[in-house]
Order: sequence, then structure tokens, then C-alpha cells
Amino acid sequence: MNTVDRRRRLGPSNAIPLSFPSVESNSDIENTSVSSFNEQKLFIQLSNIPTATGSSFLQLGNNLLLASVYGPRPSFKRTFNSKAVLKITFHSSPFLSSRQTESTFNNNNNNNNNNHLNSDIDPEYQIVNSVILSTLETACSNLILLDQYPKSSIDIFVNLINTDKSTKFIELLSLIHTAVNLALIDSGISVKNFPSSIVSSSSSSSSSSSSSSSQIFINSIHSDIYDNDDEKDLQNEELLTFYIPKSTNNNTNIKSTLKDSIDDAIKQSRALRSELSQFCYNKL
Amino acid sequence: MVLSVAESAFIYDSLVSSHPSRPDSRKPTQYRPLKANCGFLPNSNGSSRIYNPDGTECISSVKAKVIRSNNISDLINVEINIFGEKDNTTLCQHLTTLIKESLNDSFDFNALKLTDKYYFQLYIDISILYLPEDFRYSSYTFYSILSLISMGVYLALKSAKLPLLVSDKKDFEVEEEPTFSDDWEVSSYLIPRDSISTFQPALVFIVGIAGNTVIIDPSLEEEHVLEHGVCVTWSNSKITTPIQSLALSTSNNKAIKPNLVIKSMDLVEQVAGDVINALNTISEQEIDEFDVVF
Amino acid sequence: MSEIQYPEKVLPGQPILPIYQPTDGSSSIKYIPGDNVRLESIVFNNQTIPTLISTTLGYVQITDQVFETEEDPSEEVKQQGNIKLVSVIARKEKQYSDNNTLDFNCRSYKAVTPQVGDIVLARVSKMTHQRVNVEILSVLPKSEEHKVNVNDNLQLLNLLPTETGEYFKALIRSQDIRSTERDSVKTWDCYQPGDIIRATVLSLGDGASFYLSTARNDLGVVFARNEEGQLLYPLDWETMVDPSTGQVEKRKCAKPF
Repeated sequence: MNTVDRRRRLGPSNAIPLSFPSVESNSDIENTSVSSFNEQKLFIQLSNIPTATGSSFLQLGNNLLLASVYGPRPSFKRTFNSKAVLKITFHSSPFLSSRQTESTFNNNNNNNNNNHLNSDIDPEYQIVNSVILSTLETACSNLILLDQYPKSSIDIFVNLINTDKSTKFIELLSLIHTAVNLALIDSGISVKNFPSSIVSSSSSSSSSSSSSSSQIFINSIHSDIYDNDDEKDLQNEELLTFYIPKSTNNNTNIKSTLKDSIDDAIKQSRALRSELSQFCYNKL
Repeated sequence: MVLSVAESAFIYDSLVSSHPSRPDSRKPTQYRPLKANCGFLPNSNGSSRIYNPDGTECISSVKAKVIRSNNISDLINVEINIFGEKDNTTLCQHLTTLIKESLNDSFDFNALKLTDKYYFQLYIDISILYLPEDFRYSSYTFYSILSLISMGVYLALKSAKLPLLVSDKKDFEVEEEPTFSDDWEVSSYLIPRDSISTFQPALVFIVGIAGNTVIIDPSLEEEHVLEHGVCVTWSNSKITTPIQSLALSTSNNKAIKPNLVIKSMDLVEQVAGDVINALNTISEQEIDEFDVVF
Repeated sequence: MSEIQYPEKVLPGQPILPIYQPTDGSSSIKYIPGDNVRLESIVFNNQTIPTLISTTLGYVQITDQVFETEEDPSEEVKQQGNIKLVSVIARKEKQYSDNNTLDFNCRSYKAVTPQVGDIVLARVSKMTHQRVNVEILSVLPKSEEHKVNVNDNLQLLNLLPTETGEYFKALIRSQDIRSTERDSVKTWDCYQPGDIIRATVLSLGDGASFYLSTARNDLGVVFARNEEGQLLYPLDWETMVDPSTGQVEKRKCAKPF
């Protein structure tokens, strides 16, 4: 690379530019935390909001999340509801300077201004509120036994307090789901089964030459079918919701690797679930 | 649509049986009849109108604007307007995100490149003119219209024409604004029609799941009893992202078995070719008169 | 008879017991789902077993199911041994209850939605000739339904945590106020705004309100004040009296014993 400053703005050509070692060390930390995302310790606190029916606080690295469940409380809609209505609100702290949220969410009017701000963010890291909300809605409506709460509404609030640049959106998504799952369990609201959500990034063995990893996010429960054989039992998992983000490599055929990545995700999900359920069991 | 317990149980049972039968006697791979026209809006580069027999109607328009930027993620803008819905609802945002994401993934941005500095920026405006009354005040989510929107966008993009550039293509050294030919006769299609340089914009398919049955293009009655919905994107002859589970209605939701995700992709692979062929045929019909469409 | 084995604490989705449990005798024990328990056919190694499954995190409690066969007490005793109610006490509910007595029935601060058949406490808010509008204050624990002690029922421990002051709305049609002479009921002779009544949930009703009924001896006004704000005491099932002045007011009273 040619470092000579033709316009001489930086002074004579033999001048040494200022260096900022602190920035470099920062990026080192980020890199290590990326690799060890799944190995990081998860801090969980339940029932930390006394007025809520159920709540949970999660910390993983620099990611702080608060989820709370209110209800069932009376819903005053005109129409008759034979089951509870779910309302889910996602809120990210306004001081998340390091991250930009989706432009359309914040202000529709000045789309153009925001587009430019957004442009320097890798799409893998951009927080897309609509995906969070739609997956949460699907997952919760599949999980909660809404029939048991006619004419009621259940409100779920998720607050993203802090995150960092090294957490991918999809990893954040699974954390959000975990927080909501735990808050629901804490609330005592009737649910079908013990849920757990995970992001599985399996670097598929078939395309090992390319460094691309196909990622899949699932939030799953065990079905009502049980099998003694562990391999067979993998088929007895049910997905509450799933999301496959844009893959880094467009050439891989998603479908061919999907089966393996789902199986892999289910295995990881089960492992997480056994730990979470042990945690909840001990809390009793 | 509010179905009685007996009605929905009947529809559900006939869907999940070993030989699935749908209420309107369609095959699992069969669409409802659709009508579509394109290229009829005189003041937009490309446009389409597509409607379902149940009255759901979607008008899309593509407008191009010259901008001086080379940021790929800026080049496609999508805005969805749903009759009776606010712009900032989760639904509108999510549909916008999904359409935009699918297009960004599949688009060949060389088609938008004018010169080294200038690009065409596309504004895709989608308007849902009418939704059946049953949709409102009931358990339906609107996600099923995603498939219609996606087909509308596909047609609009296919029919979009861009004016011919008359100024020099290489403006890296020279500061020059691009100029275009006034003659629309020499305009070229945004998506080239020749087989070498062409590409397909993404199509989003909505697949409904009940029991072990997967069906394409669920009707209102079916959505009421479906356990899960999956949106699968298809572009350039293969399945791409975004792939996501969606709740089509909140009345009978259940979690899905992982093998059904694969099964729904098989279904999309089965029908996608036919759908694309049909849409291409429509887009190649020339519309001369504005009134012919209506 | 061997002691049945069941988990003490359960997680959501965890199977508790199959519904039938063979015993040494000729009759088998049947378990029926109670609170926070659902009945589901699970398949274990290709074998379908109808099983009770927990829907929440909590403690398992198994109680004898008592039926309303008061005329024939001998039958009741027989039923008791065979049918047991399995319920799960959610973590929260136990947490707030008195630690010394471990009162499982106390559902304080538990948000519940009234179900058909529940006994509720409600406050009269508005009256017309055809109907009485009420707000549901509290859902009484199911297992206390048959206890006759009014004081127990009036503990109001399980007030719905409606910090916004919004309660489930309900209405009692004039035909549902009492079981006799249903057509000639005068609503203002039975209830007055502000009265606290005990009622049972007839149906989920329409979009706005539940439908309640007080057409039973143990249902009706449990707490009322007259215009001066003095507490009224029931004289008979349709009159209440203010002991300080001797003034009599008409109410449809709940049987206090």
C-alpha cells in the first residue's frame, strides 16, 4: 500500500503517523470473545421485578437483558377472545452507542438519513427489531397454553440494556429468547414444555474449504413422544420458532446442510435445556 | 374468518389425513387462481397489480433514481403500505425487512450500476389495497400476504425499464453527471431478458403446516387450522435466506417437527419453477393502453 | 398397598403420573388433572400412555377428590380412595404463603383468569332492571369450595394483582340471581352497588364480560353496608339488618354457614 500522502496533509513524507495502541488491544478482546461466545458464563437472576408475574435478568459477557412477563390480566377488547392475547414489546436501551438498530423502527420519516448511518454496519450485527418481535410472537404463542386464559392478555417486555460490537444479531436473538423463556417459567404461566433456544453455527463438513458457517437459530421444546434411544429421541424435538439468517457464503446450498445443522442445533439446545432446568429446579 | 369448532376440526382432519384434501379441493402444491398485470403505471419505471380471488389486491411500483453512491445496501428501498394498518406496526416492518432482505440477497447489482460513481437507486412501493374483512378482528396475522407481495414485486421488477445512458460510462477521472436518452423506445429492461446476464429477483413462498402435511398458498379457511407457517425464499433456482417460521393465525398454533422444515423446502422446490415461468409469461405481455388493466 | 411414586418438584412439561395406577385391590386409582396440570397422551418407546403433565415449575400435590354427593355420604367415601386430584403448586404461590404452615391453598398474588365453574368474589358496580354489572375481585381456591366456614373464604388473599385497578368485568342477568321465581326478580331488591357478592362463573360470556350466577344457597351477598355506611348482617336469605338502628334492607344473601 502506498502510504505517501500526496497532498502533504500529514506533513513531510518521512513523518511517522500517530498510532493508537489502545484500539488494537480492544479489537483483540473482541476477537477472543467472539470465539468463546458459547463458552462464556451465563448469569441468570429470576424474579428480580417484584411487580411482574415473572421476570428474568441475563448477562452474558457484555450483553445485559431484562425480560418481564405481566398477566394474565383482563383484556378490554371488544371482541370475544377464547384465549389469551399476547403482547410483546422489545425495547433496546437508547444508549447503545455501539450498535444501530433498524432504521425503519426508529423513525420512518427520515429514512434517508438513517440509511447512511446504517451503511457502515455489517448486516450480521444489525439489530432487526421486526425479526425479534415476530420470532418471539411465534415462539410464545406456540409455547404458552393460551387456551387456559380466556379474555386475558399477557404482556411480555424485553429490554436490551447493553450489548457489544462482537455479538452477532443472531446470538443476541437467542439470548433474548432465553430471557423470555426463563421469565415465562418464572411466572408460573402454563406452558407446554421446558423451552430452550440456541444458535448453532456449524461449519458444515461438506464445505470445509470455504470458511463459511451456516447458522440457524432455533427455540425448541421436547415433544410428547419419548424414546430411550438418544439418536431416535432427536427426532422428538419440536421447534417453536426458527430463523436462518443470511449466510456468509451464497454458494452453499442451504437445504443440503440444513438437516445436519438442525440436528446439531437440537443437540446443543438439549444440552442448554438440561442446565437451565437444573438451575430452575434448584431454585425451587 | 370465524369457524366453528366442528368446521375447523373437519378442515384440520381432512388436511392431516394420509391423503390430504383441502377445502377447495386443491392439490398441496396448487395455488389459488391469481390475476396479474404489469407495466401499467405510466409514471413509474415498473409496476404490477396482482390479486387473489378473495379480493386481496396488491399494487407495486418500482421507481429508479440516480444517486452517487456505491453502497450496495442503500440501493434498494422497500416500503409497504397496508390498507387500514399503520406503517410502524411489527407486521409492516417485518414484511419490509423480509422483502428487502430477500431482494438484497438475490439482486445482481451490476444491473443498477451506471458508471463508476453513479448507481440507480430503486424505490419499491407496495400497496395492499384491500384485505378481506375476515382478516380483521380475528386470529389471523397478515403474514400470508407476503407471498402475494413478493410475486407483485417480482413482476414489477421484471417489467421495470431503465432509460438508456448516453453519457460516458467511465467517469472515474472526469466529473460528469450521467445523461439519458429521451427516447423510451431504446430503454432497456432492468432485469435483462437475454439468458446470459439475467437473474431472478427473490420470491418468497409461504408454506402452511398441519400434522405431517405441507401445503402451499393456504387459504383463509386453512390458515385458521394450520399449526405453523414457514416462509422460504427462492431465488436463482435455489433456496436462499431468509427462511423463518411465521404464525399464520393464532388459533391453532403448535411447534413443528424439524423434518417438516425440510419437507416444506421440498414443496417450494417443486412449485417454484412453475411459478416463475408463469410470472415470466405475464411480465412479457406488453401493455399498451393504461385502461386495459382495469 | 405400595406407596405410589411421583416427583416432588416438577418442571414444565415433565410427566408426573399416568392417569391409572394399578393397586393391590380390584379397583385401580384414577388420577385427574388439577391446577397447572394437563392430560396428554405421551408416546414412550412406541407405547401410548395417557399421562398427567405439569405445565409449570412447582411442587406436586395429590389430594382426594371429593364429589358433591352429599345425600349419600357412603358413596363419597368410596370415591375418595379411587380418584385423586393431581395439581402443581407454582413456585410463586408457595413463596408468598405462610412458611410455618405451608398453606398450599393460598394463591396470594397469583394472577388467575376465572374459569367456568369457579367461585368468585365480586363487587357490584352498576345495576339495571335486567342485569347487575360487577367486577371480579378474586377467584376463590377450588379446594375451598366445599368448606362452609365463611371466614376462611373471606380472606381475600388472592386479590388479582391489578395495580391499574382494572378488574375482569362480569354481569349477572336478573334470571340468574336466584333459583326460584326467576322471572319476577327485582334486581334492586337483591343487590346494591358496592355490595361484595359471592358468585359462580356460568360462562365466559361475550367480548366484554363474564356471566355469573348467584342462583344457589351459598351464593349471594356476603358483605354489604347501608346508606349510612353501617355494616349489615343477614337476617334470612333475602333480608339484612343494621343492628344499631334495626333498619332492614333487602338483599339476596349467601348462606353464611
